[in-house]
This record gives sequence, structure tokens and C-alpha cells, in this order.
Amino acid sequence: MSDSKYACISVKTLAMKAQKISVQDYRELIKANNLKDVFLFLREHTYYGEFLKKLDQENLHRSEFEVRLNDLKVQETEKLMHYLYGTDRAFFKMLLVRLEVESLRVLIRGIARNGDLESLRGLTVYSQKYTKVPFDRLFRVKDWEEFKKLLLDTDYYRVLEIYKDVSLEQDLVMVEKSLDRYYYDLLKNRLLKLDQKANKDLIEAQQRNFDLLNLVWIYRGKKFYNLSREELIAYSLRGGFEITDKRLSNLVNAKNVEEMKEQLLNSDYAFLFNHTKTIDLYMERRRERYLYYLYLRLFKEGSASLGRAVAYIHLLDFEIADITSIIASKRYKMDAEETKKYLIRSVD
Amino acid sequence: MAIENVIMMDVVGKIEDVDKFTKDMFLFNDIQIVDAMHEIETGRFILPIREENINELLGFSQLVSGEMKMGEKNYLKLVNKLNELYKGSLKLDMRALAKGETDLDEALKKVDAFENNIVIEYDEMMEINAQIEKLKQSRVAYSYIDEMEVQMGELDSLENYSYSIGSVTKDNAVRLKSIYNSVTSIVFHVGNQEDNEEVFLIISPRDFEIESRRILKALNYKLIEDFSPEYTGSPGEILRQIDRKISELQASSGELLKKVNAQLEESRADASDSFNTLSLYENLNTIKKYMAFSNKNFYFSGWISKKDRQKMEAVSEKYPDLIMMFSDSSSGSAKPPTKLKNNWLFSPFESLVKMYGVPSFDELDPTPFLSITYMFCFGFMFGDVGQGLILSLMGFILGKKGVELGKVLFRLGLCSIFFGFMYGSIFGFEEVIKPVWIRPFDEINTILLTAVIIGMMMLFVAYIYSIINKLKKKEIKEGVFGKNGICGFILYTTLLGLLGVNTGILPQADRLNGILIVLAVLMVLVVLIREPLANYLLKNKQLYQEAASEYYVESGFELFEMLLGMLSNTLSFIRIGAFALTHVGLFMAFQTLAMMAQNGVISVGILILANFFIIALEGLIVSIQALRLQFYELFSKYYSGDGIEFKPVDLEINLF
Repeated sequence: MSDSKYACISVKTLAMKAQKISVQDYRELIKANNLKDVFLFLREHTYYGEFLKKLDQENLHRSEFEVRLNDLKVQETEKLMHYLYGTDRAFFKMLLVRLEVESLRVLIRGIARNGDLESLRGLTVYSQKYTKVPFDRLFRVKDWEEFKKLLLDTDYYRVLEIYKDVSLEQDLVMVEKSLDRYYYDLLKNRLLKLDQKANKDLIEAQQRNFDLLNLVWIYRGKKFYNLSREELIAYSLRGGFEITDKRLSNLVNAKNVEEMKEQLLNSDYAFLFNHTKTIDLYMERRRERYLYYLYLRLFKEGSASLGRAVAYIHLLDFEIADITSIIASKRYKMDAEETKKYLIRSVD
Repeated sequence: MAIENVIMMDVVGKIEDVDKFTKDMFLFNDIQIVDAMHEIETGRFILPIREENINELLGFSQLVSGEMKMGEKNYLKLVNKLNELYKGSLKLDMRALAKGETDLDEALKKVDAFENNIVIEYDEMMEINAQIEKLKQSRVAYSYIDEMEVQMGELDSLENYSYSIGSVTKDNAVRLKSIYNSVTSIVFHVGNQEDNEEVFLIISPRDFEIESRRILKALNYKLIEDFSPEYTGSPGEILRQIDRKISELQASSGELLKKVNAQLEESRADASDSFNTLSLYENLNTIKKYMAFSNKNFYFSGWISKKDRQKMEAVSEKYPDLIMMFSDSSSGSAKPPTKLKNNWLFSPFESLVKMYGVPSFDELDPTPFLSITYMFCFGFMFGDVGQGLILSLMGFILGKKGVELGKVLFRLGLCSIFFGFMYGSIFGFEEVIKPVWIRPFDEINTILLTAVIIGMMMLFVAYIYSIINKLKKKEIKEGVFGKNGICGFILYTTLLGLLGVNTGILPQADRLNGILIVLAVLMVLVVLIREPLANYLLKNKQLYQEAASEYYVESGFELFEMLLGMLSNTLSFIRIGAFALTHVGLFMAFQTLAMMAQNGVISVGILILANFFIIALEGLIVSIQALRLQFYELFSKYYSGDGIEFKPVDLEINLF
């Protein structure tokens, strides 16, 4: 039964994937001389073209450019949702919730800077169709209290209501971490509701992401922010794959980063730390490349589950992130070899 | 004609008269107001340039739209308040408004006095209700710790410890529990909230308070703040205390409510007056938003029926300096709205027409044709005296309740009764009365053939409608040479003629055979070359819009489609006959069932059920089939339905 249940969405996803950009396209993008060339290539030769039409090629704004790429993701996620129902659909919707959280983050940053939220409209990406957040009204908000009030009917109110102010950087970081935690707790709970047998690989992939995020968080918390173990626990994610609650608290209890690395020596995640100099610089990329291969495998093998569709959207995510990195590389005038180092997928 | 002519009325008046004039317009009601500013900006609002108009003309240069000007004055709040007090029982009384002079100042004064009388007590009542709410929250808060044997006063005055009660989400509760042993406070789990939250009592030494707070904040700990230092006893005592207070307050709130209600009844007449006046002014403000204003004048535009012109001129005579101008639909470039006017019999069918689209102002109103043919088709398919009677009764009741389609149903039911007598059928039984015409099942071919002939006649009328509509719109190409134009009509007729001659239905017309063939071929050719032909006759230099080859390929296919369409459209009407037969057949099936039951009670039950079934299901199918014939076979020929509906001033004030 479960085979045929996902047959339709799997085939659809396969077709969508075939239209996305190829390694050859990547090479062209890396070769491009400047931002405008990247833009023109994407507009003329790729599936993103339709979403870039609105932008003015003479006056390109880097972050707005990136956001428009994400519009494609929203559209394709919405499209795939038509093939799902019940708990599967609820889980898939989390991919849109992610964007909603990101958009709220952008707006909250705007509030913290006392900025005009209307000007941030172009930097937010969310699904108009599925969001319960009244974004159109949020753009007109002037202060934090008013902002919170508009979210009263959403889950976000509970997350944000205890914060009286967001103008201090440290409060802002807390708010952002809380939003992330809200999202991943919800994700964890929705994972539990999926058909565990059919979606085993998908669940593992998501749980490994929890592991990685926890490791990065604890590592940074120890190294840069000097946080107490209670705070590290408070913002850590639950429901990981290899990093159980017990191991989590051992990691948190480690006296320093070195001890933490030692504990992970024999785990799947040693790759994050077994480098000599470049740990911090490439940590995020290493995490993402690991997930990239995980999702690539899930995409290939997950045709009888929700796995393929979810993997597809994550891969799309990485693709957009790579394009974004290429765009950034043009600004810093990196050469091709240098640029490739920052990409999630390896291009040779 | 069933489409009423509308004309645009433009008015310039002295600003002093604006209230009175607007009220006149509001009460007149049958006018569609348009944005005067927009009319002026698009150059359709034209004042004759004469010396006496000089001020009004000068006003054009300093216009402000009503939308801007009307921003501040807002009576909606007061109207809403009155509405809230009387729980929506006040209604806008148009007749009272039309009779008397309305005095805004007096209404405002009255509301003021009214507020002084009632609102004090009303507010007091609201205040008490708010207190009750607050107490109820406190009760929830204290009930978390109701089993603690401790005096709250003592807890509040602890020197080295502080306490708090608050909640975290389930997921964060797990996190909190995993750091129980290392946190610098004592944590008790005291209960759960409905919305997935767990409640904790936390006691921490004052020295570590900052650190504890930091950790709790990190866990998104939400303080429950409904505790109050005025309560010093044990939680159990406090709960009893709160309950006592609540019942005391509820008693006094009840007292106040009685008083307020009594006073409300006393001043109902005054309140009703004020409500009327203020609602009126709120509506007037809405209308004024569509006007434009200069320092001395107001500018107003709206569509009215042509026949109302005299009434409007009578209105304008009341105001000495008012300039009122009329322009008919052909002169301006704005598309006039369509106002339908049909008699008692046809007007309910307008809703069916509007389902497809509102007729354009320069189009024939299809309602009369649709009404007659729709009723006819329905009756033909669903002819039964008894069932028709039930349908018309249902329709009558629904219609009385204000359902527009109920009125349609009533008329359909009547037709069904008529055809019931024709077929001699009553509640499905064919033995009770004699048919005036035939019994459908006895003469199947006659029924089917009649259906097709009726269809042909309906198509003829549709062609005529189409030709008139197209010529009215001056579409020579389609109207004369098109497939639904004169040529198409002639072609259809000749093809039918050929059919008649060659199948022997019209034997005496044998001689005509040759002529008919020539005529048909000629018409086919004309339709094929209609674009260049029309352009040539109209003396347009460019004969083809596109490449000639493309045009002929396209036109060839269209021709093919047209011929196919003529055949299928005509045969489509067979369904009228077929459903007439189904109607009888379906009941016969039930009758057989009833006979097989061989039990009087069950048989009667089956027959009653059969009638219900037929009325509900077949009635629905037949009405849809009849509508389908209208929309697909007929409307597609002659009707565009791209008009704008005439919307008179909206009476209801928007309360929210």
C-alpha cells in the first residue's frame, strides 16, 4: 500500500529534479564574470528565469536576488503538497514553516534596528497560501509590542511573548534561537507521527541534522560565547539520531572544545573536527555537504516513501545556497578554485 | 427592451447644499454612484464653458477627492456603540428618514445625553465583568498550588528566597527536567495547562536569582502573573475567598444589567432616532467619498435610469445654484452598467442569466427568451401534475423566504403541471387522467422528433439574437458573414431544407434541390473568406490580419467545426425528448418494484419513495440539462455577457 501511496509524488519529483541545473550549469556560473552575468545566465538558461523577470538587471540587489530564487522553492513545495494528505502533508508543510520562521527573523531584525519593515518586503519568502502569519500587516508595524500582538493567533506568540524588548543584540540572539527551537521541536513531533517503517531513512536523515546542529551549537557555545551548560542544554535540540540525551549531556559537560572533540572521535561526525586549521571556517559547509550526500541518497532510494520529495526540496535548498555562494564570490572577486571551496556540492 | 437605458448624471453644486443633496440621492437609492474624481480626471465630466459656470470651472483646479476629505468625520463608532447597547435590535428606518428633516447636531446631542445617562452604569457593569474575569484567572493560578499548606503572606515576605509559578512547553519541560540537578533552584512540577504547557513552581535563593532567571528565560518560561500580595492565607483559603468575591460581583453586575436594560427601554425612541440620523450621515459620508470637492463646490457623478431623468430634474430645482448635466451611454468612453428590467414572469430568471454573465449594455437581454425556453424545456422533460405541484409549492415557499431561485422553481413547477396534463400523468400514474396530447411512452418517435424540431426553432431564434447583437455592435464580419451571422443562418436553413427534400419530408419542394445546393456551397465559401470580404467591403487596405495562408488554414478548421456544430447542436435537443421518456421510465421501474413487493404497505411506501426520488434527483438533473442547453447550445451562439451590473446605492451601513 505504502508503495503506491507515494508513487505519484515520487515520479513528479523525479520530473522536477530533471529540470534543475546541472554540473555544467554550475561551471558556467562559476566562470561568469560578475553578478549581472550570473543573473543573465540564470534568467536565460535555467528554470529560475521566470522568478527573476521582475528584477532589474542594471540595479541588482544581492539579497533580493537570493530571495527570488527561493520563490521557486515555495512554488514547488506548494505544488508537491497537492499530492499529500494527513500527517504526510503536515510534515511536508514544515518546509514552508521553515521559510516563515526565516521571514519572521528578518522582520524581527528590522524591528531591532528600528527600521522600516516595508522595505524588507523584498527580503521575505513565505507561502502566501499556507501561512497563518499576517505578513501584510506585519510590514506596517512600528514597534515590538504591536508586532507581537499581530501574531496573537499563531504559535509564534507563545515563543515571543516573554521578550519585552529586542533592541539588545543578546536578546535578539535568544529570540532567534527560540524560534529555531520552536521549529525543530515541531519538526521532531511531526516526524514521530509519520509512518515510521516506510519513512525510516527520511527520519534518520532529519535526526542526523539535529545531531549536527547540536554539535555546531555546543562547539560554538563553548568556544565563542562561553555559555553555561544549562543554557547549552536549553537551546539544544531533542530527538537526535546518534547523539542521545545522555551523550548530549556528556558533550555539554566536557570542560573544553578539545575534550568534546575527543568524545566524538569514533562517531559518524568526526569529520566536522578532524582538520587542523579550517574547522571554524568550513564547519557549516561540512555539515551541509554531509547532509547533501545524505539527501542525494535519500532521493535516489526513497521512491517508496515521502523521502524523495523531502530530499528534493532540501537539495533544491542546497542548490539555491550554492548559487547564493557563487553570487557572493563575484562580489569578493574570488577565482574559480576559491569559489568551489565554499560550495556544498563538489564541482570539478 | 428588457435592458433599461442608463444615462450618466454629472452634478455640480454649492458646498452648502452637499448634505441635503446627498441625502436626496441616498433616499432615491436607484442610482449607481461612480467616483467623480475619476470621471473628472479621465475628462468625461465636462462643464459647458460659459460665464455663469466660471466658479465651478475654476474649482476644477483645486479639487480634492472625497476620500481625502471624509477621512475625519466618522459616526461609525457612535452607531456601533448604540448597536452594541441594543444588541442589534435597532434598524435603519428609511421611511422615517424620508419624512422628516434630520438634524445631525441634535442627534449628536441626544447621543451625548444618552451616554451620560446610561453609559456610566454600562461602563460600571463592564468594569465589574472585567474584575470577575481577572478573579477567575487568579483562581486558576492559585488552584495549581491548592494543596500546599503554606501561608502565601509568608512566602511573599521571604528574605533569602523568591518564588514564582510559570509554564513552559512540553518539549522545554523535558529540557528543564534534564537539568534539575544542576539548576540553582528548587523546581516542582505542579500541573498541566490545557494548551500543551507544563506548570512549575520554582523557588530560588535570592543570591542566584539572576542566574535562575536567565536559565528560565532560555527555556521560554512564562510567568503566571495572576497572584496578588493582597491574598495572604493558604491557597485553599484564598480560593474560597476568591469564589466568594466572584459571586458577590456577579450579583451586583446582575443588578446593574437590570437597571441598564430598563433605561435602555425607556430611551429606545430617542436612541432609535439618533441611530437613524447617525447611520444616515455615515452612509452619506460613504457616498461623499465618491464625490470631489473644491472650496465652493461639490462634484458628483452617477448612473441613473433614463426614465428617472425627470425625477432628478425635479430634485435639482430645489437647489438654486445646482448644475445638473446628463449624457447618454454613447457619448462617454466609460462602459455603462447594465440595468435589467423584466416583467413579473421573467425577472427571477435574471439570476440564471447573471450566472453566465451580465448582458452588455449594447446587447439584447436574453432573459425573456431564456425564461420561455427554459420553462418549456423543463416542463417537456418533467411533465407531471402532482410532482409539478409539489415543486411549485416548494418554490413558492422558498421564494417567500427570499431565495431568488425559489421563484424560478415556482415557475418551473407550473410548467411541469401544464405538461402533466398534456401527458396525462399525475404522480407518475398514467391511468388517472387522460392526456390532452400524447403519452410519451406510446409514441416515442413523436416525442423525440418534436424535441429536435423545438430545438431547431430555438436555434433559429438564437441566430436572430446573434445577428441583432453583432450588428448592434457593428461587427459586420461576424454579423453578416460569420458562422453565427446572416450567412450561418442561411446555411443552417438551407442544410435543413436539403435534409427535408432528400428524406422526403418535403416532397413537393423537389425542384428546389439544385438551388439549395448552390446556396449552401456559396454560403460555405462566404464564411470561409469572411475576413477579406468584410475588409474589402469596408474599404480597409489590409485584407488579412495575419498571413493569408495561416488565415485559410484556421478558417478551414473553423468551417469544419461550424458544420459539425450545426449537427451536434441540433441533435443535442433530442435530450429534451429523451428525458421526457426517462421520467416515465423511471417511475415504471419503481412501479414494477412495488408490484413485486406484493404487500400493500410496502408497495405504497415504494411509490412514495419513488416520487421523492424522482422529484429530488430527476428534478435536479432535468433543470441542469435544460440550463446546459441554454448556456452551451444557445448562449455560445449569441451572448457575450461581458457587461457590468448596475448596483444601486448600498443601503446597509457596514457595522463591524
